[in-house]
Amino acid sequence: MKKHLPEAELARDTRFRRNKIEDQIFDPRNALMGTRNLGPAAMNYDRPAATERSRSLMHGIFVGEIQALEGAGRTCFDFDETEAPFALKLDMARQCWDESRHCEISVKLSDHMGTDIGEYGESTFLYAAACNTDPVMRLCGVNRALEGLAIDVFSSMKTFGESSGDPILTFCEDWMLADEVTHVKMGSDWLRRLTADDPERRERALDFQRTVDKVFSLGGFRGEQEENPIQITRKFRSLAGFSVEECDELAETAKQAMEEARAMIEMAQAATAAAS
Amino acid sequence: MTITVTPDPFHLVPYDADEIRSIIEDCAAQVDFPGGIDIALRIDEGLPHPILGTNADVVDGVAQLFASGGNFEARNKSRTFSEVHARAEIAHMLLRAKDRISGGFESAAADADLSLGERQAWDTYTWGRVARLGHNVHQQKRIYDFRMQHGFSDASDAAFERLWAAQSMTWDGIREICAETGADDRPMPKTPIDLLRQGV
Repeated sequence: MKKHLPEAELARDTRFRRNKIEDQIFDPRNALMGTRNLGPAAMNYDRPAATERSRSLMHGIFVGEIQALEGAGRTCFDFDETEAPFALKLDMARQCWDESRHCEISVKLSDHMGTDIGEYGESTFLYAAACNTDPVMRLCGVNRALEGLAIDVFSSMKTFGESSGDPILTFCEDWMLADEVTHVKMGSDWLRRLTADDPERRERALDFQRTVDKVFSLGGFRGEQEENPIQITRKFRSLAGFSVEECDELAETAKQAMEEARAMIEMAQAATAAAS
Repeated sequence: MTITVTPDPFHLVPYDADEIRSIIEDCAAQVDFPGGIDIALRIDEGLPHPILGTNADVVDGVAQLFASGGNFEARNKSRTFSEVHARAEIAHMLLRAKDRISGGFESAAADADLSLGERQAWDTYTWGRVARLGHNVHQQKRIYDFRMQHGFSDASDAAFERLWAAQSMTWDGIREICAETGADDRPMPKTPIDLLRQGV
């Protein structure tokens, strides 16, 4: 079996279609979207297109769960025991079990919300973060950054379920949220243990985490302000081993990402105005 | 009957106004749209999926239709026109416009003044008809949309079934269902119901 499988080789059946990142980045509608009044950002039943937005996000969560399963499984296999101790692999194996269950829950939730598997495109940048050849980097990128994002997303979806009176969504998100806290805590614990005698390696891994965090805060998707649809969840992050300083840093990263997105929109608008 | 589609041409998405006009002609014939009423469809090509929304009002003898560009977009391929979705959405808008002219909804408020519950109930009645015309309609999506405004309850599901299966309905019937499910008790949203149509 091949070690360090690249994202292009992920196995999918014919229902799935891969999104091209360049299609998303160079979509000419992006510049206009920043100027639009689309109502409050927080997910709520009275938002325009609330249900379709939540369905689309739910499908994104579903493919994210598949990739998290693939990433954790890969970590069990890609490294020998000098690189990744057996106990770490045991944690990753447990995470695979959780992610498999999350895939099944997500499929049921998608049925409930009226979505078919593969109806929306799949972006694979979650798995890309799990392709790092250093297990510590991988744990920081996946378990701390992306599973941390999952905490924020599930918490926001749970709040949406509560506000819209949907008990199925609320309970499912709550159950998955509990697992995500465990996954992030695994990442925090193993980061400390594997880098106990190597502060430089720890710092490199945390830098990688910051990069991933910034990518997934793009355009104000996540933050602590009303205009961010996904809210940073400090309570659950602290349970998962994040310090107050780390939460502050993440909030600042998200804020910077939003400001950069605004600046890019202004530049694009200026360029459009100059061209017309 | 005059049919206009704006913008023509499209600049942000590769949609073809002539193709859309032709779909409107087909759907108008299919729903037996009144011949003396002109149809004006405005598509906001700046709005992508999943920011969906449509409106259908009749003003001065013209059916004024509005759709987000996302309503006509393939769900799994950005900026790509989906004829299947476009046909279903256009049939839906035309049926609602026809309801306003002679279908028992003559006294209904304009789209901007409907509550979310009223709009959702009317949509359900319409999607049921669109599905029976043979268009692509995902019933479970429509149930979820309905529950979002009318509650996740057996009473709400029963109301959905009645609306979906109804051969005819009136504005008063919609109002009764909103009272029955409790949708009437919800506060009006902070944002206008036709926010997308209002543009920037």
